[in-house]
Amino acid sequence: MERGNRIEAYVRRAGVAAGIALVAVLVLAFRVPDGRGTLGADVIMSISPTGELGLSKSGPFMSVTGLRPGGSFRGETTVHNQTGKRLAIHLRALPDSRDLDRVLQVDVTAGGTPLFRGPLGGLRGRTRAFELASGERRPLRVRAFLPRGLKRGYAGRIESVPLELSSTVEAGRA
Amino acid sequence: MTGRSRKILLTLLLVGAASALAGFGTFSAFSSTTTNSGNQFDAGTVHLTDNDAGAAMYNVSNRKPGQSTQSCIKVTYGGTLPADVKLYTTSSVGPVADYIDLTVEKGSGNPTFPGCTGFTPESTIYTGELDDFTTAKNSYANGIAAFPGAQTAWNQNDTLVYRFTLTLQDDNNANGGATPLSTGSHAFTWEARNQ
Repeated sequence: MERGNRIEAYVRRAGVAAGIALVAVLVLAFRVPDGRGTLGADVIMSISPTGELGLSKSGPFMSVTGLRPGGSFRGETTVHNQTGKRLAIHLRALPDSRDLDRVLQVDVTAGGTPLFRGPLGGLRGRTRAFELASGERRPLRVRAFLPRGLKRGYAGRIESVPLELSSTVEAGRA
Repeated sequence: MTGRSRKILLTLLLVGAASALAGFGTFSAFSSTTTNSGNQFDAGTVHLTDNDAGAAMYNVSNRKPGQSTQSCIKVTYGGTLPADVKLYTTSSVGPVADYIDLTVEKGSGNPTFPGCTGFTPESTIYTGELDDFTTAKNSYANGIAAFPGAQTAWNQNDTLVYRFTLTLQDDNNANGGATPLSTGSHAFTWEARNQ
């Protein structure tokens, strides 16, 4: 009798241990797997022609999804002075939020001439000017990137960045 | 402790317990909220520009009968709202305008103002004398509506090139004798209005 009780106690303990082990296995097996890490940034840059300046490509001309530190994207359009006068041309950005102002780095060149290099927020002011003679065309290249080692300020951000062209007539020059 | 004190303490205890229960019931009510965030209201835009950079399409003198001048102007719509664009003039012109034939065509291409190299005509939107244009097309209401291609609205970044051809008629009434006749300075207006 005494021996039978002892065996029953062992069986019960073994049953409890097996149940706990089974639950642990099930919890580990059905848990939601970890993600790959933080979300990247989604950015769309667009540009529109003006009366004076035609573009080979207008509207959204460069975009990226899931941009992470060390990543970059680029776009290009050709600017055409369709007036009869020489124009000084500037570019500026009008982002719809300030989320990426400090972290997204932008590099703008016109036909190889650097116009701007720095954080997106700096592009809210006008770039240095480039000149186009009447009828002249020049490629405008934009590259944007998140620096390697960036820890925060970009994850899950979604930003639309319209670029605005403006021009002034260079007096007395065609 | 006397029986009286015990009763008072018991009463206080019961009142305290009842208050605690009432308070617990009051502050433990279920609660739920929902939020609608990110609301924003942006106005649309109507914005029209051209490629003249402040210069005239034509400024010619000493024309002889039958001689023409031709200029192209490119109009760009930068607004966000679908729009109609009409061409008209609010200028008045001198008597020689009665002897100047004006043809306005719409088309496409990338001509450099005021030239027409690269212009591809689509259709003629006005033919008549310059003088008649100034009287018949002098407001948005009676202006000439034109759209890019076969569209029925101007959309953002749409462009349309207008070619103006002016020809002096072979009519001696256009001969001013000692003093050349002139149209005087006049302007053409393109006006966009959202649909």
